[in-house]
Amino acid sequence: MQYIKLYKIFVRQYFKQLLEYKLDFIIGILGIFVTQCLNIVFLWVIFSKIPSLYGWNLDELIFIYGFSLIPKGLDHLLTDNLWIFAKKTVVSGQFDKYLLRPISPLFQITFETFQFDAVGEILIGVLLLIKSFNIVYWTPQKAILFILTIPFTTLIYTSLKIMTASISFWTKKSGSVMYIFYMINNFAKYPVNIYNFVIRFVITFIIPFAFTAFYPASFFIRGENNTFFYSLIMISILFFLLSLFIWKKGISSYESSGS
Amino acid sequence: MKNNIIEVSNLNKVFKKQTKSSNLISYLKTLILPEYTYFQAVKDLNFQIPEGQIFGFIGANGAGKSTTIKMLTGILQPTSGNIVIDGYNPQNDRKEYVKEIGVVFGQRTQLWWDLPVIETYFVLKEIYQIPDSEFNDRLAFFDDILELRKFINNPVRTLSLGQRMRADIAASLLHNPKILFLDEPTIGLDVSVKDRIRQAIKEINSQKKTTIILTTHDLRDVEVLCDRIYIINNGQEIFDGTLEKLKSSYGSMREVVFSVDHINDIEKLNYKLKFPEIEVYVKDNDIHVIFDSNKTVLPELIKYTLDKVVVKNILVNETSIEDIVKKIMRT
Amino acid sequence: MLSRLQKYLPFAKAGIKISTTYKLDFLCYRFGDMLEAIITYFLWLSIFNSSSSNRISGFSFNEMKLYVFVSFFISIIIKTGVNESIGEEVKDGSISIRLLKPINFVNTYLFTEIGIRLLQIFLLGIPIIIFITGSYIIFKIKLYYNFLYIIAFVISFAISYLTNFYFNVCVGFSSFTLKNTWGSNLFKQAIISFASGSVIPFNFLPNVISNILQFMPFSSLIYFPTMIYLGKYTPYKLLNILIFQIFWLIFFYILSKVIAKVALKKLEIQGG
Repeated sequence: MQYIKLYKIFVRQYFKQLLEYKLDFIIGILGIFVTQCLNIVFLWVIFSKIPSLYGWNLDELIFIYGFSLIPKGLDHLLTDNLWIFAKKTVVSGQFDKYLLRPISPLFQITFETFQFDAVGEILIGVLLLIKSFNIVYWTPQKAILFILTIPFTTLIYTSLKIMTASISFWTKKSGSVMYIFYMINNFAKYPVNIYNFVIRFVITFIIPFAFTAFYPASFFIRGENNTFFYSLIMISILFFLLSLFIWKKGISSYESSGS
Repeated sequence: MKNNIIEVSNLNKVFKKQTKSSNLISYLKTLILPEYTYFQAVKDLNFQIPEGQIFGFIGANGAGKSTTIKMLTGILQPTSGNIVIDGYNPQNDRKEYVKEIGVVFGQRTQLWWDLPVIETYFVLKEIYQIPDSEFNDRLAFFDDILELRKFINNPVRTLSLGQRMRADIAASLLHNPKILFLDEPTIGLDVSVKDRIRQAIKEINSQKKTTIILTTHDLRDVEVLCDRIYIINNGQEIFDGTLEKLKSSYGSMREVVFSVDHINDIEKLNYKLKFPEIEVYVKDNDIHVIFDSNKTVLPELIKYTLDKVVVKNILVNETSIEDIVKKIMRT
Repeated sequence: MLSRLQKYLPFAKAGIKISTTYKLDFLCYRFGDMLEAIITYFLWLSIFNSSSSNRISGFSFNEMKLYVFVSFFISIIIKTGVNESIGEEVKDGSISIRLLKPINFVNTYLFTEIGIRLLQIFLLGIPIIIFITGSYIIFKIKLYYNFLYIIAFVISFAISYLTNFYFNVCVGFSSFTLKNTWGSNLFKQAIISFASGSVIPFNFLPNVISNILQFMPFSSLIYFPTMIYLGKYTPYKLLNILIFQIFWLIFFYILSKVIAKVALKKLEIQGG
C-alpha cells in the first residue's frame, strides 16, 4: 500500500515534467514509432517478393511482431530506471542513499522513473495486433489467456534487467552487459524456426525471450504449443526469483567492499 | 547520567582489493589466479556516544572517517567488532534502524534531482510514513531555522550549494531521527552560509535533543558546535575528549611568525639542531614556528633567529585549534 | 600542412586515451549491435529459402549475406558521438574552452573521434578477421578481391565516415536545446538506418522510392560503399558515385560551419 502511494507520486511528478518538455516527449514517442514502422515496412517489402516465410504469412508475422512490442513497451514504461542504475548509480556512489531509506532499494530503483516514451512501442504494438486481429480464431478462453500472458512476459524482461543490473555491484558498471542481453529480445520478433538450433536453444532455455512473443503468439494464431502458458509462468517466476537472488548477493558484496 | 545511544567496540575494517595489472599476460593470469592486497582502513576503534551529544569526528583524507561513518550508518559491513546504536545492529536491522537516523553527505544530495524540493519531501513523507500533522509541524520548524520558503518550489538541480545543503538537512530530519550523521555539511560554502548552517545545527540539537555525528575538515565547525572531539589517523584513534582537554593538553602550544626578506635564509637557520622539538613551515615570505612553551623558551628562539637572519617583523600567536590538530596528526 | 595537423595531435591522443579506458564497454556494446545483424542474416536466409527463384531483386543469397555484414561493419565504424558531445558541451559551457584555441574547433572533435576510432578499429579488426574467416566456413560467404573495387571502396568508405561526422555536427548544434537526447537520437537513427540502406538494399523498394533515396545524401553512408564492395557498378558508374558522395560531403561540411556559427551566436546572446 505504501509502495503504491509512493509510485503514484513518482508518476504524478513525471507527468508534470512531461508538460514542461512537451516537444521532447513527442520526439521520443515519434522516435520509437518510426523505428518500429520502418521494420514493418521491411517485412511488407519482403512479402511483396515471397508468398510466405517458412509457412508464416505477413499477417501472422505482424501479429507476432505486434505481440512482442507489448511486454517490451510495458517493461520500458515501468522499469527504465534500471538502465540508469546499471550505467551510473553504483559508480557515482549514489547507491548509498537507497540503503539509508527504510524501503526496499530494488523497489526504489526499479520504479523511480516512469518512461512515457515507451507509449510509442505499446501504441504500435496495439495497432499491429488490431491490424492482424482477424487471423486469430478468438474464444473467450483465448482472450483471458491473452490478458494473463502479458504480466508474465513483461516479468521476463524486468528479471533479465535486474540480473544484469546486479552485476554492477561487483563491477561498478554493467550497462554494456545489460545491452547485450537486452538486444537478444529482438530475436523474439520473428518465428523461431528461421533461426538455427543454437539460437533457438538460447532464446528458449537460457535467455527465454522466445516466451515473450513467439510461443504465446503462435498459440493464439495456430493453437500450437498448448502448454506454453504453464511453461511461461514457470519460466518467468523462476527467472524472477533468480534475479532477486543475484540482486541480494550483489548487495551483500557491495556491503563488504563499499564503492 | 545520560544513556549511551551509540556503542562501538573493537571495530575493524579490512578491504580486500584484487591486484590489477596493465600487462596483458599477468592480467590474464590474475583472471585465473586472482591476487589480493589487503588494506586495513579502520583499526580497533572503541567509543561511546551519549544521547544529545555533538560528536566531532576528525581525520585527514583517507584516515578512515568515511569508512567508519558507512559502518555506523549500516552501508558497510565491519570486518570485526560490534556496533550497537539505539539497541539496533545497523547492518542486520537495517530497515528498522534507518528510521532512527538521518544522514547528510555534503558531497552529494539525497534529494531527487529533477523534483521541486517540496515534492521530494512528500516522497520522503511516504517513505517514512510520517503523519500529516507531524509533517506540517516539522516543515514549519525547519522553515523557521533553515529558511526554506524561498526555494521550496524550485527543482533541486537549480539550487545553489548552500540552499541544497539546507534542503538536504531538513530532508534528513523530517522523520525526526534520534541520530543525525553530517558528513562535511559546510564543504564548499562561503563563510556567511557556513555560519547559518552551524546555527541551524545548534538549534536542532538543543530543541530536538538529536545526537549528532559531524565529520568536517573545517575546524571552525568543531569549535562552534562540538561537545567532544574524536580524532583518527590511519584508522586509529589518536585523541578523544572535549575541546578544553584538547586545548589544555596542547594549549601550551604557541606560534611565532618571522617575516623575512629572503625566504632562502631558512637554510641558514637549521632549527632542528638547536630546537629539535619544534614544527616549522613556510608560507609566502613568512617562517611559521610552532612550539610548546613548556619546552622551548620564546626569547631564546627569537634571539637565535635574529642572530642568523634579517627579520622584518615578528608576530606571536596563540595556536589555533587547526594548528593543534595538524600537529597531533603529524606526530 | 604538417605543422597545421600537428596542432590537432593532442586531440587525437586524448581520443586514444578515452577509448583505452572504455575498451571493454565498447566491445560489449558493439557485440550487442551485432546481434541485430545476425537476426537480419537469418531473416534473409529464410526469405531466400522461401523464394522460388535464386535471385531476388538482382541479389543472390551470397551477395545478400555480404551486404548484411559489410553494411553492418560500415555502420559501426562510421558511428559517432559528436552530436552528443557537442550538445553536452554547449549545455555545460565547456565548449568555450575549445573556442578559445586558435584552431578550427569543429576539427578538434574530428581528431578526438579519429583517436577514439583508431583503437576501436584495431579492437574490432581482430573479431572482424575471425568473423570473416568464420563466416567463410559457416555462412559460406565468398569474398571479392578486385583491386579497383577495393580502392574505390576505401575512398567511398572514408567519404562516408566524414559525411556522417559533419552531418552529426549539424545535428549536435541544432538540437542541443532538447532534453530528451535519447528520443531525438532514436528518431534520427531510425530515419538514417532506412535512408542509408542499412535495413534493406534500395533495389528491393519500388523504383520511385529507390531513386529518391539514392539521390538523398544518406545513401552515401552505407548503400554506396557496400554496393561498391559487392562490385555492382561499372568503372564509369563508380566514378559518378564517388563524385556524388564528394558533393554531399562538401555540402555537409559547409552546412556544419553555418549552423555552428548561428548556434554560437544565439548562445552568446543568451549568455549561456
